[in-house]
Amino acid sequence: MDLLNSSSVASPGIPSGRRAALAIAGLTLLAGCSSAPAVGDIPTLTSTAGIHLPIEQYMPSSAQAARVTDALSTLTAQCMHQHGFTYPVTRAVAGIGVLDRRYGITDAGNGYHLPAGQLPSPPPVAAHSPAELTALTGDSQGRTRPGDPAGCLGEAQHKLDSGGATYGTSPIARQVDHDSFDASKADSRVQAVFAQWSACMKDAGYRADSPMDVPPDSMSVTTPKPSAAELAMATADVACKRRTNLVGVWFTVETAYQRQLIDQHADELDRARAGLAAELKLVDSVNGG
Amino acid sequence: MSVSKKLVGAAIAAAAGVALLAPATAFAGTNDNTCLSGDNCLYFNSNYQGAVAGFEFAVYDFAGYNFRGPGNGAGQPVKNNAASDYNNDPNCTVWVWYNHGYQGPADAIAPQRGLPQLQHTYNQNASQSWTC
Repeated sequence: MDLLNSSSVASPGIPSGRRAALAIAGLTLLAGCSSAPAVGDIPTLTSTAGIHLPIEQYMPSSAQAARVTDALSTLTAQCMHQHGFTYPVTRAVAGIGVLDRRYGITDAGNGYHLPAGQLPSPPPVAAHSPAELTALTGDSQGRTRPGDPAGCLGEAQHKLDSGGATYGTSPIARQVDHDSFDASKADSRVQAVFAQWSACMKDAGYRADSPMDVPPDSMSVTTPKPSAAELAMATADVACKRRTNLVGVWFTVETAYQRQLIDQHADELDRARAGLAAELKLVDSVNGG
Repeated sequence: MSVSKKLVGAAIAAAAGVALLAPATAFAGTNDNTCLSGDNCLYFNSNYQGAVAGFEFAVYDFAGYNFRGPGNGAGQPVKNNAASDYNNDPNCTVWVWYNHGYQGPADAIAPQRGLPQLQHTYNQNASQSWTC
């Protein structure tokens, strides 16, 4: 932990309440003078499938991100081949979207476990010889100094992050995505629906202040299948979300905050969108269309 | 995630049964603050400074893991304590989540990409998952 860029300060003993206060101060700095935005009719939403936050148009979708990852693999393999090594080209699957599980789970069928296909750990890094690792990473043991990528992986990453193209999500899009989440979570309309959800959960035998508090720390979901206790809690959670229209309220309020923030950062976000468009064009040429 | 979480009723007994599933190792990372290929590396300080913790697997809950030295934060808990992150896996995107159990907002970090300051999960990193 460090405190908002003061990286030389260790602060292990700060109580969580004080940390929260510091975080709120940081939010104010980043977000500027946002006031609670008005919202229109609040739709009834039982899931986040098929809906989008405004900031998503400035970020790669999960399918686009997979294409970018494919290009990284292709460029790395080409470079390794030039060094006389074989290197497998992999194809990524589309991952989690911005709204997936953002407000907690909306389907209790798998408890709090991730849907099948989303949990796997990466395949172990293939056993490379020191010479291969040096070509791949610039270090015979594969050690990397972040921010200074080397070897074929570094070269591939650099190619995807130059000439006006942005590799990954731009910092400004991340910032808006985050500030809107924090601002909406603290908004009185969202806090009110948290209170309704909490009362509903209490009736079901659970104590939690917000959907961010479940599952509790004490409940492990590392088992291959969800436990009966986990399924029961998830069922109550989702039922209470539906009864209170928690997803509809939170999504609508957050959307309003995002629109406000997007207006405030319009020029930076236009550049971010151009960087994404250039990236997708570059990626298509690498992947062969 | 700083709000304490409590259970009532029968769920306590059920939860106690699984609390024994502690991480196999309390330390994860390198001794020189570099990040090994294949790992997602969390750093105690911004800009990849300070002690490091590297994980090549999905972590439902960072509780029980500590940063490895040298440097600022060595021996401190990883959970809700990381400031920056470098994904040193060549093929997989990592999601660092605000809440344990892969919930809440997440910082998605592309392969071979870093965040010099975590956004959603700055001092709020509770779990991580991968998509490959």
